[in-house]
Amino acid sequence: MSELAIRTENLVKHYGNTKAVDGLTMSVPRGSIYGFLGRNGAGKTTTIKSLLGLARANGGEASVLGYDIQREHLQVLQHTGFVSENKALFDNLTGDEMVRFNRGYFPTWSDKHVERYRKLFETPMDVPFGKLSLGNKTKVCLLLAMSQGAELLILDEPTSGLDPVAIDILMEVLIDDHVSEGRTVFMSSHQLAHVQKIVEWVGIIDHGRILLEARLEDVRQNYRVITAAGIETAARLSRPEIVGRRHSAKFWRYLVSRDSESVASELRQRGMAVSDVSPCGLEDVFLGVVRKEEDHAGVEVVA
Amino acid sequence: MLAWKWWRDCRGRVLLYFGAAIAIGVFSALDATTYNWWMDNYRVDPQRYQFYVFLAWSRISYGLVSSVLYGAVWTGLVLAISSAGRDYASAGVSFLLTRPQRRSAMLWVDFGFAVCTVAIAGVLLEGSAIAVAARVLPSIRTVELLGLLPTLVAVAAAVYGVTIFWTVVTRSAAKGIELSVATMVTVSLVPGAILEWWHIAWPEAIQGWMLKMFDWRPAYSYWIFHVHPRTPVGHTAIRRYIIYADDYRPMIYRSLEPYPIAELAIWIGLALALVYASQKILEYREV
Repeated sequence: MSELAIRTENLVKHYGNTKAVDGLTMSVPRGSIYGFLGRNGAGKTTTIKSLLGLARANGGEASVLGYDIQREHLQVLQHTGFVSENKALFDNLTGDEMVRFNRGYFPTWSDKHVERYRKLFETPMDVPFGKLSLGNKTKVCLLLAMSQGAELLILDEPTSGLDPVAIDILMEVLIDDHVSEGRTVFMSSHQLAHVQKIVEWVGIIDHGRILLEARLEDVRQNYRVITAAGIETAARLSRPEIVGRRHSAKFWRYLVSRDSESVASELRQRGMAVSDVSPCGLEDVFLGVVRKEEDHAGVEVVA
Repeated sequence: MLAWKWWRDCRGRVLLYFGAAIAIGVFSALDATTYNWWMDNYRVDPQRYQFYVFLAWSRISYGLVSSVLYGAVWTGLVLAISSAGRDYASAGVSFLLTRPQRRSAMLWVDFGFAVCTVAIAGVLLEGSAIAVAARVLPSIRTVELLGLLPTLVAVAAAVYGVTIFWTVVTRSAAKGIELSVATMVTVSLVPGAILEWWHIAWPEAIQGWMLKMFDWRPAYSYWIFHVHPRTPVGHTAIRRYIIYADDYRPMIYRSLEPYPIAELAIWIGLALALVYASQKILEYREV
């Protein structure tokens, strides 16, 4: 059995001249919660669609749970629960009817989980799906995906429309019912605050490429933001540890993946005035990587 | 699952069609047998009575042909966008396509149920008409009347095929219906226009094939009524015979066209080809 729940190698997906996914290489360990982060249009949803056969990759390789996404498409779907970005099911069917429809596809389906999630999320199961609010649509989609007993959950923006209580319950359920049983959760989201509560791994994607893939704990321990002032020629320091660099009116901000003191020291030697070296959260890392001024660096794998 | 969903989506329409089929069949038969009391006056003249019986069955047949064809077109159109057709054109398609099942199964299950619905509706339509009429009229030509059933299924299947094809291509049920109707109108008018308006002299064989091929009424629909022009006295033959003729027998039993098996095969082939093309498009569909 593959140690990776998802593996992509130079995955490419073009729509005409637009490169939606451009050589994406990613590794999602089994049994982890992986946060797949990126701006709008970064390629998150296209990547997910490619993994599930909703879009056909133009190049590269990918496997889900050890199954090749092209040749073993049905096995991938058999073992994967999916919540789509648009939260669209059949508008005329109620939640209960959707359960009735969905149940037969999955031998590992659990009606006990249906009942549990219905109560936990207070999901209206007797109203046609098309008449539900976005939040309730999301709850029905989550209930269906999480009741499959799938080895892998792929959740595209799973918190859309959910209130803070429902989001909190979702985070608990993902850990208690899924990760604790060795299942994998792969979630794409803009909500960094929610993601960093539970994810173990993060992958940051922009312009169809992974800019950073690391264990969140490593990010917290090793990543630093260095703030310095000085002339541009001195500021343009290039070292592999520097993951991102931004320039505001007076200051340069460097996102450094390790050896921050060494980098700070070199900046000082180049005449820069280093004012701060501080630990950073996921949001700092995300902004530091995605908003950096230079072209994107290659894949940065910390762990 | 797909079967259950099809039934969930279409059960209202299906039951309505079945009810309507029985009602139309019964009323067609009742309408045609209204004059039975009048026909009874001719029982003393077996030949003449036999002729009126034939006319009554023809009238029933005509009533069924009319409703069958419109009904077939209607059910073909509606069923094509009722379950799978509507789902393929909606945002819910990503949910449907991420269920672990072959995409080819989705369309063929839907098509199979639609064809069965039409076939059952046809049986109910003709069965109810025959059941009612046979209580009043001597039972003649009922087997031939049942021959209408395959034409009903073939037309409905072809219309279903055209509609699902356009629905899958355009990803819109509304556009699927519009383009399907436009296709039917076009293929009905163009061959006639080529022949009648523009007088384009195509080889006769091709021209004949085109007109038959694109005739939305299979030849069998006219089967019984093709008796008219084939009689020696021309198109008004029936009326004249009723009034003047002494011997009706030749008209009743001669001049029947052979059952249009080739034409039916073309219609069913067309339906299968369109559903197959739609399935292929769906298999390569990106959402």
